[in-house]
Order: sequence, then C-alpha cells, then structure tokens
Amino acid sequence: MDLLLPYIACLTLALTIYAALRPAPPTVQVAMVVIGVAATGWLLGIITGSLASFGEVSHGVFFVLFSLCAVAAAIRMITHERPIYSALHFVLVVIATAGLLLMLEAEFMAFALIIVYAGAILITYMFVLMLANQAENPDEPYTQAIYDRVPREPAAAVAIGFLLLCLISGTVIGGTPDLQTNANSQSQWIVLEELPVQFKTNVKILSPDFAWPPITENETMIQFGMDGAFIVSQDGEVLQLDTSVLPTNTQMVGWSLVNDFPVTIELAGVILLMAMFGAAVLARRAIELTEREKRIAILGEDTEEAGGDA
Amino acid sequence: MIEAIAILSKLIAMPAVPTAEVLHAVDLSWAGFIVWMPLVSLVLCGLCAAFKVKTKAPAIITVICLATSFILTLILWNSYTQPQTIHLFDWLQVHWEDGSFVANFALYIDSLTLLWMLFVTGLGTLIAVYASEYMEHDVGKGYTRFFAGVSVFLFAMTCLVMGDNLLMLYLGWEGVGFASYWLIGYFYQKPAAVAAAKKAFIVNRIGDVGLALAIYLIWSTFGTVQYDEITTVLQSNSYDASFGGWTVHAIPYLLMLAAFGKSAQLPLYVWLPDAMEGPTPVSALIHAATMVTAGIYLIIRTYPLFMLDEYALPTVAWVGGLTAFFAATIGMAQYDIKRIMAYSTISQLGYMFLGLGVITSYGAAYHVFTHAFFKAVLFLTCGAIMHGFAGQLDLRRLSGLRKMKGWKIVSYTMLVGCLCLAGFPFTSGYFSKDAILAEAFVTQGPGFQFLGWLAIFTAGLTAYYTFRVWFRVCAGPVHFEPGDELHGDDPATFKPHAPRFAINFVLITIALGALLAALPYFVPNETEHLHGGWIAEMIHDSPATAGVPGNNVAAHAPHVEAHGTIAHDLPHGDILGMDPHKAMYYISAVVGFIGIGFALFFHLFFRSSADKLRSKLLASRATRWLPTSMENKWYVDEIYIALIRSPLWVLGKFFSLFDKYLIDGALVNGIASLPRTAARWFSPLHNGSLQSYAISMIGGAVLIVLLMLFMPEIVELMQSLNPQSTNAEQVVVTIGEAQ
Amino acid sequence: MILSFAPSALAGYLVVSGLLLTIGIIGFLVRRNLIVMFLCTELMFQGAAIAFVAVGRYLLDYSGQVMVIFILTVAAAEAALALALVVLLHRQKDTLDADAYGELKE
Repeated sequence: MDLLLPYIACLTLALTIYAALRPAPPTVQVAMVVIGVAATGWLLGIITGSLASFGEVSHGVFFVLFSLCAVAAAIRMITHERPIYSALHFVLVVIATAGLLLMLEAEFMAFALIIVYAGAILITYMFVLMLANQAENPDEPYTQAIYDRVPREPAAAVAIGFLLLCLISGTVIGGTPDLQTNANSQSQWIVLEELPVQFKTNVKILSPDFAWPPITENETMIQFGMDGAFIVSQDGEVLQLDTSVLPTNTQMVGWSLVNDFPVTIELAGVILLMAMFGAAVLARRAIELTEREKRIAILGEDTEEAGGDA
Repeated sequence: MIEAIAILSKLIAMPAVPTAEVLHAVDLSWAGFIVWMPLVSLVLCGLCAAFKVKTKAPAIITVICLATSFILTLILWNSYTQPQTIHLFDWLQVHWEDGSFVANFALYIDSLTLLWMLFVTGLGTLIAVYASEYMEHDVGKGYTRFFAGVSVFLFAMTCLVMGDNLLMLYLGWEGVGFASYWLIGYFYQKPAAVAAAKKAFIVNRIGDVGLALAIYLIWSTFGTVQYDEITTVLQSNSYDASFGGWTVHAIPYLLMLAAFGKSAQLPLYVWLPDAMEGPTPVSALIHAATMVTAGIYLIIRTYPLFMLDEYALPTVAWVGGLTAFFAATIGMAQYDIKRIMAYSTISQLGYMFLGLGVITSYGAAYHVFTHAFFKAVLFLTCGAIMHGFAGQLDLRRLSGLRKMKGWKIVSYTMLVGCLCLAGFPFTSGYFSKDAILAEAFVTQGPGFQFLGWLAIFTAGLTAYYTFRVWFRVCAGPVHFEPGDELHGDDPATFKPHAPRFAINFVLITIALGALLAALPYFVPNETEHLHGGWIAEMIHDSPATAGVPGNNVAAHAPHVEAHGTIAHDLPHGDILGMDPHKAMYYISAVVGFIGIGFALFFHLFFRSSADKLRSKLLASRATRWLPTSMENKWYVDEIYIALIRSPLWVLGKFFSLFDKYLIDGALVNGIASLPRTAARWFSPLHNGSLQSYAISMIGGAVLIVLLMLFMPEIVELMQSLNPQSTNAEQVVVTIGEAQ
Repeated sequence: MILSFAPSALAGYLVVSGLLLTIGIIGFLVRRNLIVMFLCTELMFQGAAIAFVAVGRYLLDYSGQVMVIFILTVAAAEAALALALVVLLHRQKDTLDADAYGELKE
C-alpha cells in the first residue's frame, strides 16, 4: 500500500495537536478538534481499507467510534490547562480503550482495565491533584499556575511524536500482511479439556441428554472432523460442538496465567508488596528530635547526668 | 758532605730491581687501607654533620685518618720491592664470547704510584692541620662540610693514583672534579664562588669527555683497560688497529684533552684563577699540589700510548710552552696575590707539560714533586695573610710584613717558596726546571729550540713576578689596610691577627720540604746511565715508561739504548757549545737574577717608578694595549663568553621556548584540552530538565527504530562504498533478509 | 473465536495503539505539571495494552492478555510510588513545576 497518504494524514494530525497546544481562541480550538477528528478518521479509514474486512458492519463502525473517542480524549487530555480535567479525560480514554478490548473479545481485560485504572489509579491521582494543585494567585482562585497554562516546546515534542507515528504506521501498514496467523487454533479446545466441570456444564446446556462422559480417543475427548469439533458418547452418540461450549475469556485468561506464568504471578505479588512498603516509607513525616530524645531512642535511657565528660 | 748524602741516599733510595729477577712478592694487602682511610674520615664527618657537632672534631678526625694514610704509604714505600697489583674487590666484570670488560677495584703499586702518593698524602695531612686553624671562624657553620670535602677529595685522588685500570682512574678523576666543585663553592652564599665552582666543573667536563672517549677507544683497540695488559699488548704490537686506524691515532689527543682540562692548560685554564674563590687550604691542596697534577699523572701513566701518533707529544710540548708564557704575562699584571699564584700554577703546569712533550717524564715528575711543595707554601702564606688581615690580598695595600711581630715566619717561608719558584740556584725548583729546559734543547722536534728559549724567557718573567709579590708585601715600609671581611669593625683600630701554632708549624714543615726536595737530585742511583737521582729512579722503575724511545730514563727492554747512547746516536743539541745540563745551570741562574733584579728595582727601591711606567705605557696609543690586556687577562674570558657561552645561551633560550610552546603547549596541553573541549560541547546536555532528558531518550529510541527499519538500505549503501569485502557481504545480506 | 481477523484490521488496532503512544509522548514532553506528566505515561500504557491484546487475539494466543495483566500490576505499583514521591517533592518546593527541580544537572 502506498504510504504517502498515511503520512499526510499523520502530518495533519500532528499539526492539529500542535495547534491545540498553543493558547488560541475557542473557535479556533473547536475547528482544530474537528479537523483532528477528521484526520484521524481518514487515517484509520485508509488503514482499514474497506469496512467489509471486519466481517460485520457494526464491528467496523464500533471500531472507528471507539478509536476516535480515545484519540480525541487523549488530545484533549494533553492540552487541557486544568489537571483535574486532564485526569477526567484520561478516564474517557480508559473507557474507550475498554471498548476496543471488548471488540477484541477480551472482556475480562476490558473490565479489569476499568476497575483498576479508572477505579483505583485515577482516584489516587485525583486525591494528589487536589492536594497539590493550588492557584498561583490567591486573589484569582480560578486561574491555573503558569506551568499548567504554558506548554514547553510544543514544536519539538510534536515533531518527535510525528516521526514516531509515521514510523509506526509505516511499519504496520507495510509489514503486517506478512504476519502469520494461527487460523484454526485448537488452544481453546485443549483448555476446555482441562476444565471438566465447565465442559460438562456447557455440554449439558447444549444438549441436556448427552451421556457423560464421552469416550477418550488419543487421550482427548474432543475430536475433530470435517464440520469441526465433536464428542462421542459412550453410547456412540456424536455431538457437534460449537462455539458456545468454549470457555469464557476470563477462564481462558486464568488458565493461561496459572498454567504458563505461575512464577510471574508471584513476582507481581512481590512487586505490589514492595510498592506498598515503598509508599509507607515515603509518606512518613520527619520529626525533629532533640538531643535527649535521640539519646533515649538509641540507647534506651538518658545517660547525660550519669556519663559526665569523657 | 757528599758522604753524608750518600749514606742518606742508602736509606731512602730504592734499588731498582731488574725484571729478570723475580723476587718473592711481599704481601701488601693492607695497602687497601690507604684508600679506605679517607673514606672512613668522610663517613665520620658525615656523622658529625648529622649530629650537628660544633667543635673542631671533624678536623681532628680528618687529620688522624689522613696521617694514617700517610704512615701507611711510608710503610708501603719501605716494603716495596717490585710492581704489584693488590686486588681489593671485584667491581665491573662483563664477559661475552669474544671479549670482556674487566675493571676491578684493585691497586697497582709501582714506584710512580708511590712517588705521587707520598706527596699527596703528606701534603694532604699537613694542609688539613693548617686548615684546622684557618677555618676556625666557621666552626659549627661549615667546618664539617669543609673537612668532608677534603676527605672526599683525598679518597678520589687516591683512587686515581693507585688504581690499576683506567676506569678507576676515571672514577678518581670525576671524584676530584666533584670535590673541587664542592670545595670551591664552599662559601655558597657568595655568587662569585658559586659561579666559579660551576665554571670549574663545566670546563673540567670538557676534558672528561676526552677521557671517556679515550678509555672507550683504548678498550676497543686493546681489549682491556688495565695498565699492565695495555703495555703488554702494545709491546707485542698485537693491538687491533681497526676502525680504519684513525681511532688509534686519536687516543693520545683525547687523553691530552683530558689532561689539559684537569691541569688547566690553554685553552681550558680559565677555571683555575676563578677557583681562588674557595678557601685557601683548598687552593693549596687541590689547585696547586694534587688535583692539577692528575693530568700529568695521566700522561705519564699512559705514556706509551702517546707513541701511537707522531704529533701527539709535540702538541703537548707546544701547548705547555705557550701556556707557560701566556700565564706568566698575565701574572705580571695582577694585583691580587692569590690570583698571581694561580697564574703561576698554570705557568708551572705548562712547564711540566713541556717536559712531557720533550720526552722527559722524569723532569716533569720531578717538577711536579718540587712544585707541590713550594706552591703549597706560597698559597698557605697567602692564606695566612688573608686570614690575618681580614681578607686583604691586594699587594698595593700591604707592605713590610716581615718587620711586623708574629709575621716573620710567614714572610720567611714565603721567601723560601719564592726562591724555589724563581729557580734561584741550588733550590729545588732550580734543578727541576733545569731538567725540563735542558731536554727541550736535546730532543729533536718541531720547534723545540724555540720553545726552549721561550721557556727560558718565561723563567725570567716568573722570577720577576714572584719577587714582585715578595718585595711588595713582605719588604719595604710597614703599611697595611684591612680587607673586605672586616665584619663591621672600624678600619682605623684594626689590628692584624697573626697566625698561631698550627699554621706556623705547617708552613715551616712544608718550607723545609721545599728545600729538601732538592736532595733527591743528588742521591746516586744504582742503574747505569741514569741521570737525575732518586726521582729518576722512581720513574725508571715504573713500567709506565716502557717502550718510549728516547726517554730520559732507559727503558726496561734490554735492547733500548740508555741516555748516554742516545746522546751519542742523535744529534746532540748543544747550547753554545756546552753540554745542555751545564749550560742550563748557568743560563737559568742568570735569567733568574735578571728577573729578581727587575723586581728589586721596581718594587723595592723605586716603587713609584712602577706606577710611572704603567701610566707612560697607558698614555701612548701604541703601547696602551699592553698593560690593559695583561691586566684583563688578555680578555680570554670575554672571548669565551662571546664565542661559546652566548650562542649556547641563545640556543638554550630557543629550545626552552620550543619546549614551552610547542611541546608543552601544542602537544601536551593540546592533547589535554581535547577532553575538556569535548566535555564543554556535551555539557549542555545536562541541563537538569527532566523533559529534555526525555527528549533525548525518545530521540534515541526513534533513531534505533529508524536504523532497524532501514537496515537493508544502509547495508546496500555500505556495500556500494566498500566493494572489497566478500564475507561481510553474505553475512550482511542474510541479516537484511531476516528483516 | 476460532477464526482470527484480517491483517488490515490488526493494522488498524496497532495504529490506534501507536496513536495513543504518540500522544502520550507528546503530552509527556509538553506538560510541565509533574502529575500530568505521569498521567501521560499512563496513556502510553493504554496504547501498549491495546497493542498486546490485539496481536494476542490475532495470533490466538492468550499471552497477550496475560501481559496486559502484568502491565496493569506494574502500572499500579508505579503510580502509587510516583505519586508518593510527587507529594514529597511538593512538600520540599511547594510547586509541581518540573523545571523547578533543576538540581539534576551537574
């Protein structure tokens, strides 16, 4: 695919962001937003080619919608002069990202993202912002500090960002057709095998009068044929399995986590523990002790009168 | 009278032992102590300096050690039978398959060595006694340093004289040079003394270069540096005359250069007059009696080598003769009595070299012997005068000393010295000068007759300026003025400080020695056809004169003719039809009387006429140059400064600038400034702003991504620039494909 | 979810992720408020999360989602400590301006 058009789209987007960073009258800002959105849509449209490649119209529409929402919120986040609004726009970004993840059929991840980010991290950010954010001038409590209002070197930053974006999009557009895909992966069927209770429940939902358990062939219960996967009961009944029996995304993620990355879970736990310790240590308040108090703290008693001069 | 002398001679003369008869060698290994005693004295003086001794202890130590050396030398002389080597310890021994360099710390005792050691240790002891009183002003300040210097000097001189190879001689040579530097610069707070010390050392260095080169050439030609082995090789004519043969001819000239440097001949004499800045005992010991004779000793030791080139000895003779005349003319016009004595030393050394050049090593050695005594006496009396009159040495300001109380001994010992120096009949100087002058007319050589007459004229000049000193200082009306070292007392109430026992005793002893030094001339010797008494005997015994044809003494090898036959074979140089020695007796006596007569006229009876003559000469344009040049020492120092020192100074300045700007500035500092400049370029990166660091990081990441993306194109580009590599191509192509 | 989707769709997801990353970088370099700078790093994490999950889904490998779990963990830990440090810095200098902490230079 020719890369010139995507580059131009990137350039437009970059100029939009640059314009958004400088203080400007509201009309200009709105115009910039519109143009930015349009540029992003154009970019994404170019990339995705026809919407038909997604398979479903709604699928493609939702993709563009969520993407535009994310990008717009991100741009507004970096350009807003009030930090609290930046944090709120970030929440919007998180929600848009969760939407994109939902479209990728990663429900667990989507909601975990919302819970952790929007529910925990952003709340912490809000607390600290309210703690530390002060107006520069007590007489004008509604103006922000200078360091919030005036961006530093927007030109250089936008230039670097533009460069990076062109590189990424150029690579992605030019290189992904070579990426191998794992069509007909059987990993989910394998995991289903490992979850016998879930398997039984799902099969029972699918076909309530199937005789459980099915026969085992080549150490697996599920066999593959021309129409897909099927199981054979001990009576000889063949049951075609469809996608409804597959384990949910949560189950899959959990299986993958525990089966393939057990040590990493432990390490993640250690990291969180360390973070807790670190936060507790950092947030202590230093107290000025007198000499007497220090002596008592170290030696356990006050030895000033007893010791005399050495 | 003659019988008494004959009996005395039996006691002191040594029989010459024919080499055909090999006697049982006496064990003389204790002779090493002669060398070690001055070293012991040095160490003890060093300890005195470390413990800051404030008494006269260093002097006592030095005198005891030197006296021990002298006594040991006497005992050695008594038990000497034949030339012998005494091995002390191994020093340098380098062997390789086709040669070796062996120089051991060994002593070679033969009669030449003994002759030298007798007066070196004897005068050394006496002058140390003299100095113990002379230097008493400095007790606690520099006294120890002085005696340490004297000990070093005597150790080095002993090494020089007693060594059995040229390397030990070189060790002693450098050692006496160093000791001379140290002692001349004794009054180191005076810039003149420091400059004089430097001058002495540097001018000696020029000679030392000659000696070092000569030793190397001798080693490469003869394969050895030991005297006896050199003589053996020379006599058997088996030396290696390779290198085109010219190096063998260069050896005598290099040795000559060394001798001229050390013994203050033309053109390297300029250091000796300035060396008078040192204390007087130093001048007496080093610059009159011992160190300056090292050059003569060197030539006598290596005399056979001087036969290697036919013009070597005539060169020596000419340099010696001209120096004698030159120095005498300067000495006539100086006013500082120590300077006059210095120039007189140079002049007499010229006589000795003249003697060596006309092939009478006996005459030269005899003159060394007698000169040591009378010159030492003269210097020591000058020192006593300086000591007593607070540094006054100008002969225009002192007069009539012999009539002053307490100064009689000084005056009369000085008279003895002056008589010997002037060659008054029947003094020791008379006979020694006669030996040299006579030989000048006997030996055939280029211009030797002219040199002989020049030497006689110089003898007259010597008599004149010597007695000028005596008549001005010791005779005439009594008058004195204090000198520069008055230390704040009022000149009007100045009382001269007469010398006491130690100085007087030494002066009398050495003066007696000077008179008695005439005796050896009359001691009959036991070798046939030998003329010249005990000294000749001593020289004759020394293998150093082997192989020198026409030498005054007969050589050892049985086929060389004796003096009498030489006199018959060669055209006999008659002087006015008489036998040379007899003629010389009369001529030199007459010339001496004429000189003394002139001195009597100008400096005793009609003193003002001297000044009138001088002003008359200065007034006339034609003759004005004569007194001014003579008083200014013929401007030799100025010529040297202009010709040698100034160009070297300019060169040195150029090189110092070169070093400072090019090597230090451009090279060292330039290289050092590279990291600094680089740091200055890169330091704006550290501006403390978090985001600029972030920009750098992200920029770096972008660069890496770019590189990875465009790796195939970059590889192609590099390949097109560098078409040689073939292996690299394939490796790189595979990397590019893996992208 | 047996079938994967087309490569061009994957490209789309990756470009979105790249966009979020880039906007996060721009924001980090542009803003001077320390807390907003940290917020922009969180934005970059979002981009990374989308990328991981998209490619994981494309390859039908659940390691991508596992990776995002860990990213989440680390981001949370880092956010906690970073904010604690920001609070301390604010106590020192009473400002949140990144340029005020210029002692980082030599």
